[in-house]
Amino acid sequence: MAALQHARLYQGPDHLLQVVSTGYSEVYKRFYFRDIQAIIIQKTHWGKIWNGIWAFFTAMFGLPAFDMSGGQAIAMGSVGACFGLFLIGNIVLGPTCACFVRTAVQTERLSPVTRSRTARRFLKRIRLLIDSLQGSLSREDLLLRLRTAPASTAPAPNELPIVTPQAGDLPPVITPENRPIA
Amino acid sequence: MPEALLTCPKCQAPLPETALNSERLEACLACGVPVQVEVYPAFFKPIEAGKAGETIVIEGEASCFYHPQKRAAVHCASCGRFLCALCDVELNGEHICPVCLETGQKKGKLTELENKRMLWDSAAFSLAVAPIVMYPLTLLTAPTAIVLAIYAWNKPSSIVGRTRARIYLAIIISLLEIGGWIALFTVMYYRQ
Repeated sequence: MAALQHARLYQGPDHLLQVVSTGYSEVYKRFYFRDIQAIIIQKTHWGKIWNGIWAFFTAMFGLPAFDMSGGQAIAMGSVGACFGLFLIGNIVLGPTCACFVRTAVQTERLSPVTRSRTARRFLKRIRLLIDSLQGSLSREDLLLRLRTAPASTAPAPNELPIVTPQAGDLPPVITPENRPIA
Repeated sequence: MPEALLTCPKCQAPLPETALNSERLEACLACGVPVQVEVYPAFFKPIEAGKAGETIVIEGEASCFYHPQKRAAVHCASCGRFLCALCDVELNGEHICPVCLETGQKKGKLTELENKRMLWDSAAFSLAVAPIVMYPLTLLTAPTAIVLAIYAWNKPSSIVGRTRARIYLAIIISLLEIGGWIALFTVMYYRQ
């Protein structure tokens, strides 16, 4: 099913919306700009792997075409040319990467951002939006704050405050008596 | 060290300082994967502690609907019930109670919380188009696609907004398929 999924990224007024579509249903994930702590871009090798695969099939179908003649050569050459186009397209699109958004509670991968060129454009665009909400943070300020801040200042995503509910602080239970009228 | 909280997505090792807000890729010290990190001020923002709600001190003070011993701080924008600070859920600038939050999410009224949606128009279109490769199936799928397209007419489509083009195409293609079957049966009938 994962192979049939198609992911897109949209910019909302105050959040990013990731839409993963399976063809007949969609799953949405929102990342509010005020909550984004960091964006991590990691280079991957998938671009080179696909280059290798397309080059292999291009050679497998294209090279024997030179030893053939007539319709066979055209057929094999056409298939090889198709794979060649895929190879050229993959090279033109550029190196691949994985892009992650980190908030206080999760580090989520942004599936639509798979190319380094796209990631750089995305980063440039989102920087402006986040700076307008959170303010900017230069490299010097960041390193200064990391070195001077205590370790507990920035909690790890898995270390959320533990709240022990007291007798009167339990969340309300939904019963027929307290269902809303409208 | 706080910077150790920024870890490599591949090997989870702490990222080097040179990779932070440097606008270029730097190799992870553990696995060597090139990584670029951009950190924003929210990274240093502490998680706000939740409010427990204030106990009523003066008799006769308005109390929370769900916690009669706690003072009412706001009223629910949906149902109007008084809420204490514990029950108050702020969503897009409005204050609502947990009951309305759950009900709104289940009924699809709070689109901000919606995280999944069935696309009936896409389903109708797929049902009309996909079986064409095995044409005999269209005898069953074409009428089903029309029914599904009619059902999808007033149903909400994608949250990012789109036209009814898929519904129209599903109906047109299904009608053409049904027309094809009618023509085929007519020809077969008159040949007998």
